[in-house]
Amino acid sequence: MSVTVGSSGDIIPLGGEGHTVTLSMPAQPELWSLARMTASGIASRLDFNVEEIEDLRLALDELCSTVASGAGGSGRIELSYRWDESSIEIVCELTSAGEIRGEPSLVHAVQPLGEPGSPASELSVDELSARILDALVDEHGVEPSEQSRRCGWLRKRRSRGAEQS
Amino acid sequence: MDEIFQVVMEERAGVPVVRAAGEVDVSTAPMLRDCLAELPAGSPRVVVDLSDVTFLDSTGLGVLVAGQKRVRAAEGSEGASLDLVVTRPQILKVLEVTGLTSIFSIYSNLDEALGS
Repeated sequence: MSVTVGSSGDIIPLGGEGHTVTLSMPAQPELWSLARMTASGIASRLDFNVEEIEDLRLALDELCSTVASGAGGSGRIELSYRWDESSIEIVCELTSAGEIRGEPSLVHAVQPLGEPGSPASELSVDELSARILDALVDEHGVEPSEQSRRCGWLRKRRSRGAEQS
Repeated sequence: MDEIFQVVMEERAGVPVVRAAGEVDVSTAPMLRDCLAELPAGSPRVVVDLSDVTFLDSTGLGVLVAGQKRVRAAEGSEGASLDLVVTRPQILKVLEVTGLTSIFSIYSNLDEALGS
């Protein structure tokens, strides 16, 4: 197991354009906490408030799980964290050793989920995940898989209150 | 990294109480699921205390929903329920944005849950 971290651009001070941090790790769910921790650290330095940081951590966890689904725990995940003065974009790319099976539900998450008023108890985990992403980040999506590669992304903007502080 | 999550089951005032602590995500949710699966069959009421849960993702939500269904589906369990204790705003928020506040009774502390 290897986890590598790289960065480009001048990481201090944050807030300029063109900053990127990359995190590469095995596509194993027990490592999603590293992805969350990295997001939390960057968002914190960008003056995202506590609630926004928690939102970002949860949304990223859902994105990682979605992108890695169908890979059977094999392959690697590469996360690219990019930011400017008021937003963070995280791209999550899975490269699997074998062919990725099935499509993640979030490919369709831009569409309304289920019928209005459908009982929450009947929602699948995938649908719950899509609801979380819809609610917690400004934009997100997953590209259709290409055999052994799948890519998803999210973007979250800092609140106006933080910009003024 | 399993040390980031702990779950125990105890009985309080005759009610099975599952107390979880730490982060409930795709790697730790199976521990919560296994604990809920060990609940006595036909328990009329179960309380899951999430006061010390700092992170809850869709996998954990799925486990709680499955637990609710199991409690309600048990033979002779009319009126049975799995109730939650939630104190952290972020945990309550994820229940709200997914619409799951409609299927769980949610209390702000364990005493309140047991006293209801």
